[in-house]
This record gives sequence, structure tokens and C-alpha cells, in this order.
Amino acid sequence: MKMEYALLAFVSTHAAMAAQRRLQGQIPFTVMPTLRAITHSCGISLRLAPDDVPAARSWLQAGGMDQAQVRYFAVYPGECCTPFPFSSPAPDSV
Amino acid sequence: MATIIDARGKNCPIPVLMAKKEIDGGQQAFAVDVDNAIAVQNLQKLAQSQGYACSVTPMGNDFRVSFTQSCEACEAILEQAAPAPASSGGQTAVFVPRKIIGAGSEELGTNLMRMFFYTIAQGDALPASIVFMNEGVYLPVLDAQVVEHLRALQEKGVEILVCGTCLNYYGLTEKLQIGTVSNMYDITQALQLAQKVITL
Repeated sequence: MKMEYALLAFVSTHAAMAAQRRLQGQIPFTVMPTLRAITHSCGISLRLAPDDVPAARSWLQAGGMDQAQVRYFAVYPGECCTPFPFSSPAPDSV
Repeated sequence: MATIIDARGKNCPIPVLMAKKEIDGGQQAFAVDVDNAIAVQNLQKLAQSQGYACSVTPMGNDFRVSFTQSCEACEAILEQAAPAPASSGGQTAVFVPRKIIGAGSEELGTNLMRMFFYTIAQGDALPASIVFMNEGVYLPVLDAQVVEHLRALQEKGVEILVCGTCLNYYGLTEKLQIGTVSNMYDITQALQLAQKVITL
């Protein structure tokens, strides 16, 4: 089944907005309410095209945002959610 | 004997409001006399939205618009045949006089507004109309995400009304990306016809 979109969930509202400021103009995203199945996360999530996620992760990590603050999910039609299938592990923060 | 309402010489939205009053009063058959084609169109829209059959008879320079409620037996059969349309939403209108939701943080308020439109665009119960006034008109002009959600809503039949005077005041008229440049008549009509108005 083809991934419908990727969802970035954040530990806090401030992290969500910091991510928006970081990605604005670099990677296209849509603000959406966090899907109910995702817990321990603030209510603001970012929806990205699956192909944009690796680049988004690089941008966020370069800005100092690590795995403690943002989680990456894959959303399939009618299903939520599995961890995003990155092809390579997260690079070390710059 | 069917009631005939003389709405000739009355401007929008009066003819529509007079007809709505009859409908709310449970009248099954009545007619409204009007003197202009725009009123005829608006009355036809009202009839359709309220489940009335409608016919128009020219009377010289005027028009008689007849409303007839469909028969109960027919309605029962139709109801079994098809589920209620998703877009009826109980005739809800969304009124947006600000460009953020709430007060306190503009950044948070902007996000809340985007998420609100995202969520209703994804849902089944759609409003009949969304109205933007004062600084709310910035949304269908400048906010790409909100514009995208409004586009999806418009495609599903939601009416997007944007105050023309407000666009003009802010110098935004040429930059409107989605929605109809509207006026106080159409806006008040949309809000008054709604059974529920959600104000952001």
C-alpha cells in the first residue's frame, strides 16, 4: 500500500512552531491536528510529502532538533501510524 | 388557499427572508411575487435547500415564484432510497472576522486557523457557507494553506464569501485567490438563512 503522507509530531507546541520556522520556504508542509492515535505529542503536527521527509529531517537536525523533540510517522490510507521508514539512520547532529 | 406574498419593490435579502418565514411557519404551499431576476434565482436556491419544489411564472415585468412542499409519502420513499447528502450540514455558516483564532499569541492563532480549515475540509459535515470579513479577508488572500483548504471545500459545494468592502479597504481585491467578492446583502442572507453560525 502506498504511503498517503508523512506526519511529523512534536513533543511541545513550541517545538512544532520552531520546526515550521525552520522549514518555511525550504520544504512544503501543511499544518494539521495530530491524529488521535498518536499520544504524548502536542496537538500541532506537520504533514509532509513522503519524499520530502529525509530533507526535512536534515533541516531540523541542522537546527538542533533531535529525536527527543520530533517523531516521524508514515500514514497509510485509513491507517495510523507507523514509524517513518527512513532508508538510512539519522545522521549525527551538525 | 395558498398564501401569496408580495415582495415586489423589496430589495435582497427581504424576499428570501419573507419566504423563509413561511417555510419556518410550516406552510406547505405559497408563492412570492418579485420584480427582479436575481430575487427569482435566490428564491429558487432557497426552495432547493429547504426541500421545496419551485416553479416560476412570469407576470408582466414581475415573477411569481411558487413553493410547494414535496408530498410526505414521496419523501419517505426518497429517504429510504438515498442517504442525506454530506454537504447539507444543517445549513451551518462559518463567520471569520479575524485572521487568527483567539487572542494571546498570533503564531498559535494562525496555526489554529489553519488546522480548523484542514479539519473541516477533511470531514463529512460541511458548512453551507464560509464568510470572511474585516481582517479575516487576509486568509483567502495570503494564507496558502487556508486557500488550499478553501479550494477543497469549494469543490464540494461550500460557498466562500469574501467581503468586497474589506478587500478594498486593505488593498487586497486583486490578490484574492479563492471565493466570491461579496457584499453585505449576500453575507447577511447567508448568515440569516443558516440554522447555526460558527464565529471564529
